[in-house]
Amino acid sequence: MITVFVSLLLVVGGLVLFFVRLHAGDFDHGDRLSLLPLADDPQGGPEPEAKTQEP
Amino acid sequence: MQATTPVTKRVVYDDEVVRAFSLATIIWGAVGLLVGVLVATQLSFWQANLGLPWTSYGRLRPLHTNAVIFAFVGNMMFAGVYYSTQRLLKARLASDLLSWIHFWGWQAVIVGAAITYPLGLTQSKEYAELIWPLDLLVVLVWVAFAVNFFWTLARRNERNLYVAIWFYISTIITIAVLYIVNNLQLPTSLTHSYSIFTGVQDALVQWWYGHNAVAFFLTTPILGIMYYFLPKAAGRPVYSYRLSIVHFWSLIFIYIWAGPHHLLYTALPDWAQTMGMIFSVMLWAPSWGGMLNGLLTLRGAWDKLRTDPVIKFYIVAVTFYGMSTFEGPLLSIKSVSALGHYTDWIIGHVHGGALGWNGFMAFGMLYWMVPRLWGTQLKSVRLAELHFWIATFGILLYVVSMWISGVSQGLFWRALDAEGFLKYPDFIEGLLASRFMYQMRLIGGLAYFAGALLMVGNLWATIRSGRKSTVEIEVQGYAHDGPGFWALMRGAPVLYSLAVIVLSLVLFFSGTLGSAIALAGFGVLVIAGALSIGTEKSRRSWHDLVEGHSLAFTVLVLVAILVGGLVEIVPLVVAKKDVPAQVAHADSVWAARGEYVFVQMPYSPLELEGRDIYVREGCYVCHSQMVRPFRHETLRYGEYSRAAEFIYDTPFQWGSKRTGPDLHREGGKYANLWHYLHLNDPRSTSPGSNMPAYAHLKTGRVDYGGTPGKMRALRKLGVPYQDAQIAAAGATARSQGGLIAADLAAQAVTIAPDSELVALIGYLQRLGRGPQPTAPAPAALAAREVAR
Repeated sequence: MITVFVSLLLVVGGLVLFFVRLHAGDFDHGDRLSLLPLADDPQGGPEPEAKTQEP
Repeated sequence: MQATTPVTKRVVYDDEVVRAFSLATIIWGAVGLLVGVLVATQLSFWQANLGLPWTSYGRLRPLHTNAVIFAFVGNMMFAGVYYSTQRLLKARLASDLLSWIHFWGWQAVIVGAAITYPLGLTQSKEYAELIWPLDLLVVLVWVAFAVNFFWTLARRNERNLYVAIWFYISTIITIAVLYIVNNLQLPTSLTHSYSIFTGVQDALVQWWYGHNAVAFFLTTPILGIMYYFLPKAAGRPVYSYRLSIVHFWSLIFIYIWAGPHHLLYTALPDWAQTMGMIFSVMLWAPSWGGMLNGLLTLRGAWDKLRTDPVIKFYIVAVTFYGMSTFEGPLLSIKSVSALGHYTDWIIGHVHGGALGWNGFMAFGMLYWMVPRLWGTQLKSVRLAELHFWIATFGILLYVVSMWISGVSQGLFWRALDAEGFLKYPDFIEGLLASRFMYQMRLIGGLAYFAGALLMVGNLWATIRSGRKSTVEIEVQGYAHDGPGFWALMRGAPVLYSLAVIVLSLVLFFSGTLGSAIALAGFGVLVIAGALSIGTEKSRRSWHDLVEGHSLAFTVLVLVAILVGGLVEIVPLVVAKKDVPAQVAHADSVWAARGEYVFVQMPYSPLELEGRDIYVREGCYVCHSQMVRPFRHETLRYGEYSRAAEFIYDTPFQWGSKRTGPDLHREGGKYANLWHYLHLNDPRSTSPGSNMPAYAHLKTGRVDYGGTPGKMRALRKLGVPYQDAQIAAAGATARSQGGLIAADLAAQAVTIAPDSELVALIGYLQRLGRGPQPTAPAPAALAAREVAR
């Protein structure tokens, strides 16, 4: 019985935390961040060839 | 934290190490899949074991699993992590030296595994078979990886850590914890050691590691890669950044608890089994949240699925992720596990994850990344398309054939006739019935391998057509304007979570008054939480601030993954002293007083050496040693297994698959001659068997010079060997071996008493002998208890 009670407490506690943080804006800052992967690399040039010793 | 002025600087990414890891992925991927095809052939045609000890299934199967997990997916993960991390943080990897130590160290581990496994040098813990010197190397390499990664985080030019980076952090932290704890061992030589855990403890720690190797090596880093490369390929931002926050925290917190679902209906305490099952079922939600977040990223761009092979690979990969993470929790429900455990269903499940999810993600990433790393275009899109269709056909055929085979095996093993007895008492009948599906699996695996070879050729041609490119960007640093570490740790969500946990503990452990106080406190918390809505003044939310503080984020990840492990493992470790059979032993005071006790006797020197041969040959990959408490199992094998019987088993040998029958009650079931004939030529006693022959054990000799050292090491771990027993180990072993050899000689078989075959027979005949009565137990009672 006590196990069920504690489990319920943890579940309710978790839900309260989620909704409070939802209202606090914890999930609202991602607009700029979600674009991060979309930034393309500038056109990269090939690596310089290894210089050979002139005879 | 003190604010710093942003400055403009130029950054050149270190893509050389990414190129190296990409090439290693391609090469090791082909090798791992080739070994997979070979072991699949061996299961269909036993002749493919080639009659050599080094190529037998028991030794090659760990080579296959390790090659796919650590060589193929590992190198792919490192390539993806290093490529995306630099771009998401706008910073070059912190140390070129550490990057190359990481690369070459990891390849050295792989080569070490490829040498040691065929030689039979193994710990026999699944996905953790490496011997201790290689374990040390893994730890050193991982430390180099971690230092390089976190140092790069510290030098970043982007304030917030993107969600992919969170998953990488969780991988680095959790794998370090898992790997070190599961590999705590006592070496007895350069190539041999004993796990410090025994029996049930060892099983729990191993599957806490084993399951979370899947979670944090094969899932979280690949999810990070998905969160970077899928939006990149789709040209769309991730569907929901908000969902990714919930996905991340719920996934890493819940995943770590799920390990015991590998041990349902075993001798593991019931509470731990139930906890593993419940948390596994809970995993459905975050896993599918992540899957949907991935799939919906393609909203508005589904047309690319028709034309872009990279998107095709990603979408099928994410779909397989969804299938596997549906199937995993399903299999973790106890009644489903009762049917599916030990069968090919599990093999189908893991290949859906490893080849469908990880493999397809790897292929998609390589097709996207390799042309860019070499500044060129993919040589042939049509070949990539062909690869996609062949691989999809292959993995589907593989998984479906294993589903059919696995469910059939489960039903076959449990079938009872009208009188309540086994309908199919001969185990081999089930194996013969599975043969067709094994051949279908082989065709599926061959198709998948053929597709991978197409990729190797295609990418090789691509690389040859291009030249290594360098990427240089101009970045503006950012001002460190967030709160410090301790300020974040005192944030409302942390304090609230701590308060709820403390109140739960008070409620659980205290009496009526304490419970009333805890409930009242909880009510106050809820009301305070509700009232706090809308009152936060900061322009940046708490999670936004944490994302900008890599140390705070890492510490919170560590806490999240430690909770589950501590709750499950600590009670079993401290409960050791409560196992009565381990407290008493043969010369205990009870026996001196003329009273008898039942104790689990340690292995004799011969049995101990035979056990090491059992481990070396990888018998555990096909035979379990765990009779579950079901009527059909006790009818087939004998009395169900109990925890006390395994207290001296290190490493534990419960196994996870029954290609052959369970062996826990094998002792005394057959004559020595039967074992001799069976090991020499399995088909002479079991027509239709696909077991490799172990004729080489006849000529192999056991070196009893090392036995006292092993016994001394085991004594340190709690096995009650006496000095006299250790001193006489060699003579005792030869004497016991002589009895077996004499028994065989009486039946016209000549074999040396110190041969490996005799030692293995000694171990097999010992299996299943539970606690024995010490003298002077009444004969009738002793006989009854022995019979149990």
